[in-house]
Amino acid sequence: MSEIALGQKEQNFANRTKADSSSILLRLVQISWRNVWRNRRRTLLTAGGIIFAVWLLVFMRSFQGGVFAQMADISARAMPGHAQIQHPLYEEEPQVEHTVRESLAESRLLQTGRFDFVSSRVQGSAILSVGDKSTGGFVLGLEPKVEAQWSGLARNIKTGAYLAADGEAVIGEALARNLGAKLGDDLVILGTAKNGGIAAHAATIVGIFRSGSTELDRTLVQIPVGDFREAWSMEAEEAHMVVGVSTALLDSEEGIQIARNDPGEGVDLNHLAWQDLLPDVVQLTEMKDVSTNFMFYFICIIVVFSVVNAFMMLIYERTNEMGVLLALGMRPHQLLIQFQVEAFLISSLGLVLGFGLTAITVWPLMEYGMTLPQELLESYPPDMVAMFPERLHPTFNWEAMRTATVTILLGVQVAALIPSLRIFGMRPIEAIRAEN
Amino acid sequence: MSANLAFQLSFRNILRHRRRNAMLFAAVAVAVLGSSLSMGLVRGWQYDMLDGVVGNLTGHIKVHAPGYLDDPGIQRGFELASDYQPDVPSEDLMGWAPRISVPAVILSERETRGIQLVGINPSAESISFLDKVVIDGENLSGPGDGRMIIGKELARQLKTRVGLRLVIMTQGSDGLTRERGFRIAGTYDAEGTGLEKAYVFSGLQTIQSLLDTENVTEVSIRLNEEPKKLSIQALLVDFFIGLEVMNWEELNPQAAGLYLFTDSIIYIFFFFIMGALIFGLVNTLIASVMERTKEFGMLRALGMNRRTIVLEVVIESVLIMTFGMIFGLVLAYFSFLGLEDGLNLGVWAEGLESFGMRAVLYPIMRVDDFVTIALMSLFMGVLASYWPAKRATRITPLEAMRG
Amino acid sequence: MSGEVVMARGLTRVYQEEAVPVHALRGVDFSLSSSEFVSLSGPSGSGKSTLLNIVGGLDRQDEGIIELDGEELAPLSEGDLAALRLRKIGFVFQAYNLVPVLSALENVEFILQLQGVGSAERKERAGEALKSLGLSELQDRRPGEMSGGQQQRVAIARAIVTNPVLLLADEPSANLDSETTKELMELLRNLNETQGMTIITATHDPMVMGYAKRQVHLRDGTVERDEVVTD
Ligand SMILES: Nc1ncnc2c1ncn2[C@@H]1O[C@H](COP(=O)(O)OP(=O)(O)OP(=O)(O)O)[C@@H](O)[C@H]1O
Ligand SMILES: [Mg+2]
Repeated sequence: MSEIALGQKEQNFANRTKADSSSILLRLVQISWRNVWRNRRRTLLTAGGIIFAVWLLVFMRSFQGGVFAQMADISARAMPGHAQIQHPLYEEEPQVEHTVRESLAESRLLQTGRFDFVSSRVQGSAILSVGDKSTGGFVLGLEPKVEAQWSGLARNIKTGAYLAADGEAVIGEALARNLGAKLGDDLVILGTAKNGGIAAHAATIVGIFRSGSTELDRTLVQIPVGDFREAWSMEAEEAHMVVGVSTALLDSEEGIQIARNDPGEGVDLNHLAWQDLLPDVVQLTEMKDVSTNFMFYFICIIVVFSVVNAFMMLIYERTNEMGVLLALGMRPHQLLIQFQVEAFLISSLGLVLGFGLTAITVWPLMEYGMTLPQELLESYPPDMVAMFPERLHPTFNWEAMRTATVTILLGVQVAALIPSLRIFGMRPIEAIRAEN
Repeated sequence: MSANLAFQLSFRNILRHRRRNAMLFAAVAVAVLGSSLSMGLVRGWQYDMLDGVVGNLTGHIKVHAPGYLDDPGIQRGFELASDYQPDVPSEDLMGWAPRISVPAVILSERETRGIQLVGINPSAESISFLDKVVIDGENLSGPGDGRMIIGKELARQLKTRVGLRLVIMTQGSDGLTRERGFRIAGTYDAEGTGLEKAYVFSGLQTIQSLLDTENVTEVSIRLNEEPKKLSIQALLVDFFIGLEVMNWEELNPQAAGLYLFTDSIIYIFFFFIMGALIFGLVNTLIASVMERTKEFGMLRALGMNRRTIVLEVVIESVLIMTFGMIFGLVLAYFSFLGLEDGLNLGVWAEGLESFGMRAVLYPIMRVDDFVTIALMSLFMGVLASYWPAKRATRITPLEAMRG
Repeated sequence: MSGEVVMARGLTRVYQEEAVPVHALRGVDFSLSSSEFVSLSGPSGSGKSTLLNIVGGLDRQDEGIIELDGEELAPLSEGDLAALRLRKIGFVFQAYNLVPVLSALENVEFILQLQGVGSAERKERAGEALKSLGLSELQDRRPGEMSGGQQQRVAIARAIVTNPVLLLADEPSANLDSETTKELMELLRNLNETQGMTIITATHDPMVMGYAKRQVHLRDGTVERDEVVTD
């Protein structure tokens, strides 16, 4: 046989191989699929670890996400609202003269169409006295009719009632204790007015609240906004902040955009979303996410080792089979593809079952909500527990699902690759002879 | 006899498949490392929280006059002999501090704040957070010091600084309002701003003379060992007749609840991590049983009883767990050494603070925790071998010959 | 070309793996023409498998020359060797080693698929190969559902379906009873006689040897006897 003829033969052979490479791939997938099915028990046990990891991440994150979203909402409703508009300097220097024009700020919030309650506040520190006892405190002037409709604090009046008319005040429980105050007592408020003079006001205590926050309970007094403006010699339109509250729970991203959205009418105002107002809630959420992720990645490492181990067993068991196939002329990379497909099938199964399990466990909770066990409540700060709703509703966390999918898929492929690399050094004769 | 044989067989079988078992050891080691680390971090948090609560002017045990908690004024003070020494064995006592703590108002030129005015003997405050804070300017020199130290955050809000004078208003023992100017000796920087906003400190004698009293409102006692609090509380109750002697758990039931709950968190972490591991372990054990169908069948045919076979599988599982565990515990030990300087969680400082945590978390390694992890891991090993062992006992000589 | 399928000159093979080097082959000369049916015999350890493996491109000699179908094997890379085995050689192993998750037909097809043969042709040729071995009935069974003899016949179908220039069978009867061995050897003889298939077997089994037309007897890595059997 001449050199040329041989060359041509090789050529034909190469062409045919190329044309048919998709069919061989399909066959390899078929073999993988049947192997996965044949070793059902092992497949399920390997997938079991994956199911567990996926469930843990997605369920926990969904659960925590839901709880924290609700907690954030409740914290926002307790006092600060979902959004605020302030004088640009007020956040850094809360001085009485740093005010915004009520109508302008209110119209900006209303313009977004997302806030159902919009009202003004003025605030300042003062000396508070009842009889001959005095202490320092913080006076908040607000619109009682509006805030009564949403404020968590208005709902936490322990004795008496919430503000209804001018000349009234509600105060915190610890403050009442420090002042020895009871319902009906006269509260004298002395502060520094806008004009530098003395701001003086007397109000009747009509309610005592327990907000859950030690600081608010120790220092806060609420009075109607009109009374405050008068005492502090402020004008009718002046407010330190305008607060917006939505009846719907604001999606965090959307909320932050709406609140920070600045229509730019030439007046520079400070727009704050609840994320700005409640940095501790945001951070707590992040931290919980991080600790859940930490656990997830640890479990992923364990899963990866288990998969490496499972593939070592699998390759060990099939040494003879592989030796024969290699002897017959199959190439190592074709066997590698087969194992990679098997790995993919196992991780897909684990992911699908994992998401199924997560869906089954998360969905009912999303629908019907759940009550938190007392012990778990105690792990949250008391301030927040006081504001927890009776039923908590998780929200399905798609981002966690993406993370789980990507991590597991990549991890399992790599895990299966490590022991498979042995194929490249495998000598067919020895593999055929290997006893097992 | 049969146990010895089973042990030998298990051990050799593990050695035979050392490469794949190495993977399993690694998985067990990672699981044990993860459990130990999370346990150490949670313990660190628990201790931190306790330290925060106890160091937060509470101490392990605190003595008040009855009614002070509801009406915290100097009228609810009590007399303390000038040569008072707590009746506590000295090896148990870390220290004690008498104080006056009353609500007050602090006024700067334009700002007013409500605060808690605390008269202290600075040298006795080694038991509270004051011992650890960084002070800008000077600390109080003694109980007679007429200056004050205030929190950094309060100074910022009042727009004041070291060396300036501020007026403090509070109620004297006669019920009348007292006012006095205090020069700021220094500002303290505590973890977070909660304490900084609330507490203003001055000399105990200065406050006593301001309020016109010889009394104090509290004695705070800190012990060397927390668990002794109950017995020592009992001793003190006998001494302070007519006063309220409370331990930190009674003073702060929420923190106490959280402290207890932390113990269960540790187990939750453990079972989550081990849960993932158990699948891999069962997988390997089953494979190892199936691979030896012939061997088991033959042994059965030769008259080995089921118990020995079960024992062999259980021992194999426990051995794998033990090797992995030892490795994991060693890893954990070195990780703890590596984390000796603490884990910096500064990014989440504000959120952590509302959980009573500090920005730097120091993991705590307790021998009893390690022992718990070790024992629970072994238990997991036995648990994981249940199904494979059951499968092994079902192998008959007949099945083995066919396979 | 003389129709020489195998040409081996001075083949040596030394295994260095143990402390003492093992001389498995010490200068073997061996050649084989098309359509021959040779049986390698000799005591255990005499080098039968080693020779078969070198001829089949599964192992490499340390010295000497080996040509298969006119092509020298020594310069070929592992990949080229694999391709060569796929095209030119059919193997039958002692433990029939079919892919357990594929049916008989699929097992036979698989090898054609590796060669890149199109689907229709593949089905036809695989079906035919099975039929020629009397396995049509069993074509949809998986190895686990067949007897050892049936599996070994499928393995032969897999080996011949590619029309190899050479069929190698190392201890093909080791796991079979004498009745089945007889059937198997009839089959091989039939292949040799009707299709002119060139076959080498390595065996201890006198019954297997009996079917070959030429006996090559090895001892201590050298050819002791090489004789044509005349019945
Ligand atoms: N991979 C190897 N490593 C070391 N020595 C080997 C190896 N393979 C074969 N040998 C040695 O080479 C010699 C020839 O072995 P070979 O397998 O060719 O013999 P055989 O004739 O096929 O024997 P049997 O009839 O037992 O199959 C023997 O001494 C054997 O021990
Ligand atoms: Mg041999």
